[in-house]
Amino acid sequence: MKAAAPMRGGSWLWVQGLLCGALLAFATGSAVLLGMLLAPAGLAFLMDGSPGKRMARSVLFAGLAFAIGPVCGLWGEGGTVEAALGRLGQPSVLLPAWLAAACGWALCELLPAVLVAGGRWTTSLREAALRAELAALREEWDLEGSDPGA
Amino acid sequence: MAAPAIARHYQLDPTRPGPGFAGVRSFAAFDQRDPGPTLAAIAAEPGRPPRRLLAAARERMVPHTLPPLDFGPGQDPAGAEGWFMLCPMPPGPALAPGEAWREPELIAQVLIPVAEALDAMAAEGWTHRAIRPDNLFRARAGEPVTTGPFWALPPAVGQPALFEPPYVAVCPPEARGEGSIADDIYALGVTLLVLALGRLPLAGLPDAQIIERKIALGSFAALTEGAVLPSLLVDLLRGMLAEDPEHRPAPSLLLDPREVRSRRLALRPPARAQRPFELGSRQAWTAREVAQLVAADPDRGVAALRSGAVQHWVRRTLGDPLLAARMEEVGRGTEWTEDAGLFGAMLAMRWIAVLDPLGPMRWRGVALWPDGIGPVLAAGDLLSPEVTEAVVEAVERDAVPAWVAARGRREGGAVALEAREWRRLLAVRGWAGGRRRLAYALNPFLACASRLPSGAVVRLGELLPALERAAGGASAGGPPADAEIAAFLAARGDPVIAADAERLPGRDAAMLMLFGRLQSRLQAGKLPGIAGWLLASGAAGLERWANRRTRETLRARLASLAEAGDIGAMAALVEPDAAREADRQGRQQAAARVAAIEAALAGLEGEAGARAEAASALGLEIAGALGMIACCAAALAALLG
Repeated sequence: MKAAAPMRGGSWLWVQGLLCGALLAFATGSAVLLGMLLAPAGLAFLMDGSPGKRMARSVLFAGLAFAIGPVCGLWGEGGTVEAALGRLGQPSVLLPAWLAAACGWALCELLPAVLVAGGRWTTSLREAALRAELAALREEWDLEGSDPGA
Repeated sequence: MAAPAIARHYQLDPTRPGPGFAGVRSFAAFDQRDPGPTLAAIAAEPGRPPRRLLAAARERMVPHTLPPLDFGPGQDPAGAEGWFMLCPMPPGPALAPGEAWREPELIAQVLIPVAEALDAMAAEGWTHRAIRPDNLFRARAGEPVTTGPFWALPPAVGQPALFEPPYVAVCPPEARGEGSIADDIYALGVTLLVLALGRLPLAGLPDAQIIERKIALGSFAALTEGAVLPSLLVDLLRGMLAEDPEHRPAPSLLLDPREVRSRRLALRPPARAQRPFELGSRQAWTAREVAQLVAADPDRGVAALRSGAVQHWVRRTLGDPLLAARMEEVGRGTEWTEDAGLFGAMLAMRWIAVLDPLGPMRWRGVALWPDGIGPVLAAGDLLSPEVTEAVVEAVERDAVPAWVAARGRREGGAVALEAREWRRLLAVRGWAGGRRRLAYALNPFLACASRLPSGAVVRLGELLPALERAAGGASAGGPPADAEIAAFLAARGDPVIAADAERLPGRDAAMLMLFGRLQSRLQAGKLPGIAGWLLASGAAGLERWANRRTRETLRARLASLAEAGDIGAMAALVEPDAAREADRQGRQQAAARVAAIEAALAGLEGEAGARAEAASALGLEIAGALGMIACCAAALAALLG
């Protein structure tokens, strides 16, 4: 079982390489357009060292949302490399895709920080309530003991 | 300002001479309600309590005696607190052995009146135990004598050895016990002899030698040696001074002396051996003398008894095989104990009782009559510690029933039963047990030895007023009861009071409850001093209440009740078991809740890092999910055109 895992990862890499090769061979225009539109996602995959690469996946999905429309439009124009380069020359195609990728990255940075801060705030509220209850009980019943963390 | 009245009505009169009773402090006194006749007031002596018959003697008049009229606490002319007994002034001075009385005067003015007094006392089951010339009074020549107070001191405690049977005189004065009316007959016989002779027989001899001579020769022979006496008196004295109390005439018989003469008993002297029994350098010729030798030297005596030498001498030389067999039986029947000294003491006591059944109990070299144990314990420091320790040990080791069984005489069964109760009292733990408890139980008029009350306390009803007077004084730092008071209350109170006293020193407001019950039972009225004293000393046990608010509420209510002097209500306030149980459960629940909170707080501290990691991961997941939703929406839009 332990030997199977790298083989399976390797096989995925092989499948991905085959798909990319097929795409370059049979839809070169689409591949060029997608490659440029999803370039930030590729960069994110290279930079994200965390297991699961969640940040890179968020960037990919965000960029992909603004890449599907141009690719579909390219297929309507024949899907040639020239058409793809023509589309890449339009700011309304490349800019939204990259901005979306940037937004995906920004969300990955902001959301965890906001949730951690929110968690700390609710924890401090609960801790304060418990300490107040503890002090009241000790005073009322003359119970000895140290307040942990007080 | 006049001193406080004794027993509410009597006042000491320092301007008049006192009655001069021998052996006691006495004063002239008068009744405030009727200042006519002068009375005598006798101060109770520390460690020498009045006899238990004092209260009964007040109710029952005995002819030719000075009865107690009343008693109670008061102050002597010097202002010292004390406890006093009032009686009429004696009719005149005490008799002095200086002039020889003639026989008819002796019989009419001394024998008959004293015999009448003894007859009345015998009917009540009392004894006098203080018949001697300096305790007989008469107004003038020709008048019958009146006996002085017999109730003011422990029995026979003031009697010189001359006036007591040898087996009583051999005991320390406090250990002589109530005795029997036959002991009074003996004392009356010696008194008659002294008055007839006009001098003290055996004068100048120490007590020990007087006792030895009486035992060796017999009292009559020892005391009348060389004396010339009228024949009637000789016959009377021969019976009255008999060694065996059962051979002495009853008081009623003495009312007609000629009748005594006609019933003269042919008394056999004790069997005497051909050769003496020797113990060390001393010799004994009779079984009684052997018992004396063993009592005087218990270690060597027990060794001789255990070797069988004494039994052999009794069987072969004294010629009494029954006595020898009885001694062997007692030796075999004595239970072995780990403590060799204790075993020896028990053996010696039982063997001496067999050898000399008329003699007193002997324990560790101390001679005592079991009903003298009370006065011995009351005497405390007045006696040597060895005597007190021996007496306590005798009770603890059940020596009294063993002695009664060994001497094999009729009397003593009741005291053997009582002795088992004495042992129980000694074994009671806490303040209300031990020798204090036994001393108060055996001496109903023993003053409470506590220093807390202000003034003498002898009866139960005198305690609370004396403590109320003492409240707020220098002694009020601690609680208003100590071990002496607890033992006193346990001995003098009813079983409920005794049970309360036996809980001291205890937790949970035991003292408050005891005083509350006392206040109610004695109908003592309001006692703000004692109530405040109890509250200040923490006797309410407020610290036992866990809930602070409950405690504060109780404190305020207790303070208010203490001001009103209602100790019973104070006790009732802290007594309810349901409230205490609720408080206890509340505390347990609070403790459990505190533990849970402390665990939760510790968890919050320890899990902070893990929670931040989880929040961070969740943020990333949400970001991914939002991207995927946007992606799906874009794909759908592209499909739909």
